[in-house]
Amino acid sequence: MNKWLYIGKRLLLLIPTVWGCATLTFFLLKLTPGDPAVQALGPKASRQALDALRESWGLNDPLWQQYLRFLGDLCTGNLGTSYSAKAPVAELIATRLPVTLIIMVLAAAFAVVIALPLSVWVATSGNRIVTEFVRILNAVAQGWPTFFLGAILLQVFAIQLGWFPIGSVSGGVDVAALVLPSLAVAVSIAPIIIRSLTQSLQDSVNSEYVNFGKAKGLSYRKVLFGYALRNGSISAVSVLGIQVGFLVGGTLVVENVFAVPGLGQLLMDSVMKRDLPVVQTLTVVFGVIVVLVYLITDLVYGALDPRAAKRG
Amino acid sequence: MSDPEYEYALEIVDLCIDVDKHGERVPAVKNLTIRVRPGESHGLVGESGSGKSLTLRAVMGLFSKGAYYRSGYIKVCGTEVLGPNAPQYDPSMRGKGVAMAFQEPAVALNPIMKVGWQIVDALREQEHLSRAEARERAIELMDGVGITNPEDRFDAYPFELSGGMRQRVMIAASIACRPKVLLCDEPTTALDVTIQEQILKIFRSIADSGTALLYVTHDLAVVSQLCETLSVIYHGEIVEEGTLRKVFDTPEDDYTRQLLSSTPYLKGRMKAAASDAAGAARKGE
Amino acid sequence: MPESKKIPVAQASKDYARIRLTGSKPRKRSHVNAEIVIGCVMLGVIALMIVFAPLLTSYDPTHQSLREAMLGSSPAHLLGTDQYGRDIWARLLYGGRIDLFVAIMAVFTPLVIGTILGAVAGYFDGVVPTVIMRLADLVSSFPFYVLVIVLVFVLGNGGTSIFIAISAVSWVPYTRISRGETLILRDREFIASCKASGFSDGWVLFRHVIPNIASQGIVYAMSDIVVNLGIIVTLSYFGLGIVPPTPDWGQMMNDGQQFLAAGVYSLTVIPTIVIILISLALSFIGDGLANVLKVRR
Repeated sequence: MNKWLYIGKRLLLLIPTVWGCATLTFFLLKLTPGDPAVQALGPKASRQALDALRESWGLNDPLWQQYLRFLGDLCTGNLGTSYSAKAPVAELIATRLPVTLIIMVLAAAFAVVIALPLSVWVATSGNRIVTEFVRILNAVAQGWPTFFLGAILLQVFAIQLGWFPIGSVSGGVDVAALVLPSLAVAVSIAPIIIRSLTQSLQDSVNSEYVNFGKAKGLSYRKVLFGYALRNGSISAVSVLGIQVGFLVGGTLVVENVFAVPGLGQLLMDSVMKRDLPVVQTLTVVFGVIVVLVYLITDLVYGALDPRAAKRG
Repeated sequence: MSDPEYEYALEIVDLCIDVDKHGERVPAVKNLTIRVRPGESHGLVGESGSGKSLTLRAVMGLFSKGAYYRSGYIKVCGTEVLGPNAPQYDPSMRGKGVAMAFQEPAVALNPIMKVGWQIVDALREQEHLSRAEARERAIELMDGVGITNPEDRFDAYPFELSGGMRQRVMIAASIACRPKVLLCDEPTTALDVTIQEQILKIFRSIADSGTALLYVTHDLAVVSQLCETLSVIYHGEIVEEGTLRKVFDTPEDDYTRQLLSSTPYLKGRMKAAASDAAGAARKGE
Repeated sequence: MPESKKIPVAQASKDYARIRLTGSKPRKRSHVNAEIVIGCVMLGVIALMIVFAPLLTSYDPTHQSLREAMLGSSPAHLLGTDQYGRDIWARLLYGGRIDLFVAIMAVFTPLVIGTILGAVAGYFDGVVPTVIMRLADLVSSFPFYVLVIVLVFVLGNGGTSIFIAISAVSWVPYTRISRGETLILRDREFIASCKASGFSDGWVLFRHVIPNIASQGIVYAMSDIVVNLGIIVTLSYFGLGIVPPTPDWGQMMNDGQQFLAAGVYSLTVIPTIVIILISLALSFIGDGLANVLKVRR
């Protein structure tokens, strides 16, 4: 079908994007001061050991050879070994990826659940007090640092009330332990959705097609849900897609607050320990996640809005 | 028409509407009275900003922000929808009692909904038809307003249709529940002349089937083709009203004369109309 | 015919006369509304308190005195002290200095750079615009936080690193906004007439294009300051940001977090409240500006 052709084309277009991400990452991290060999072996390592490591990592080769080797390694999945964990990077990432993805999906879902009623409330009430109330709520949620919101949720609901388990059970992924972190992320991204959804809902509620729907004799419920909300939510989908960076950012933060073993915690850990191979690969992985979310958003948008499909 | 217990399908009496203008509330429609009998088609003529669209929206209860009902009443089929007894507008007559064809089908049709379903949803809500029945009726209606291949067009989105086709879909959707009153807000303005003729023919047949038509336009030529009676509105007030011939032949108001003189090709039409009491244009069906 | 019933045709020529040719002459309308006033007053009070911190407290925000640790509110220590006996009020005032300064600088720089890049990308055709927009695509395919953290990893901790890292990432939205506006503007007649009159591209760009497109970026910048403040505090909280002993709100919150369990909230809640107030003020200013400048947010 046409649709599959389109998806295939889009997937093919991912290749240059991922290549771009990898290239940017590689050269960016080449700017890092300090000797990776020293970082890996510690300051007390012998000169011979350092030289041997440099030679085996190819750090003495010209930059372009290192770059090509990096690309080759990425393609073959040979991502190197973590300095600190002494484990293959690929393995570290593979075990943590699901946790991060679950938080992201849960957070996006929670954010929609929070944003939808508030946006509908503002868009349909036309009451200045309601508008101001939600606006202030928005500013508070936006200003409230995610890590601190996470810390409070953890303190109140996990430690004091004991409603949720703390951290993740080693070995498996305990979804219940991911609820609070997801909620914290959701609160931080909800304002963005509320803002755009309210705007497009207001446009929609005052639109001529909603008027026509009323003129046809449709009930208020039908006009609101079948017309205004359906049309208004289309733009919210694209906003949610564009804001995926903040979704990932929030996830990264809360993983560290809640000590959830996800990619964000791994990144922060590796940055603190100056673990170059892990930071390098993770950066590319995060880039790929974002690009994939963009793709999914486009597809969902295309499914919701027939006009987008026509535009290609 | 079998005997209805009301004389007028649509009765607008002494309607006053205010609007916000530069922070002040100013009257926009002043003591407007229009009565339309079942099967009659009445033209409401005026320039933009004269309050004619505001009047139509009052009948539909679709005030936009900054417009307020002040006094007077509107009755549809004898039921007061807006007035002292219904200051908040009573939507119960929408659909089956009164419907409206909008000016711009491009914005009045839901852009992300298949056009067929936009006819079906009205039928299902008002007539409580099953999905299949409603679909069948919708296709009949589409056929009735001159949409070729209605089965195929049923699944089209508005942006996939031409302006004329979109307008036909909108008319089909607005008459789906056989309203007693159909309001038309310049529905042919956006169309080219040949399509306009075809659409007017559809309206003519809708009126002939017993529906009262209130047709708002700035174009006297359209009125001369479609309507038996007309009112001329200027700055929110009716300055002239009567039968087509009376207004066209012996206009009493300066503004009406000005309007008539700015539509020169009407003269020829009016001579033809005068020779045929029923109106020459109407016969072209 | 009576004069009153004439169709007003003079209106059109009046409107024509009002069309503004450049962005340099502001229209005669109110540039201030209640929202901007409220927001500016809130922000102004906070900013003044931070700037004049030495007048409002006699304590050194880094001075430790373990004998005075964890004191409650008292006339001597308005908001009490932390676990090292440092005055919280002083730390709050001085801590805001670096946080707000970096947050605002890291908005101002990308705003200027991004707007110019976007105007260039929208105004010209050819290789340069393509390169700019590809680079923007590339940068925006990384999550904001990840790229900033990686840049801080490369550059090292500290205010300057954070400033560079945020600036290097957040020029992208400004570029997109300004390019979009420029593309619309480019086809308008007054730009064409400027070009036809023989003005150089650079002159047209800086004198006519950029003044006309800047407003949307400025409105966006208001909420961007809040985002920046968030990431600065977050980085400091995780020990990747402002380096002690320089006081900042993120460290304050990190220091205080261990006492949440003990029911001592003031150490963490006080800086949070200040940040929320700033967010509120900027949201007021942003909405107000959007109304005055007729920009959609």
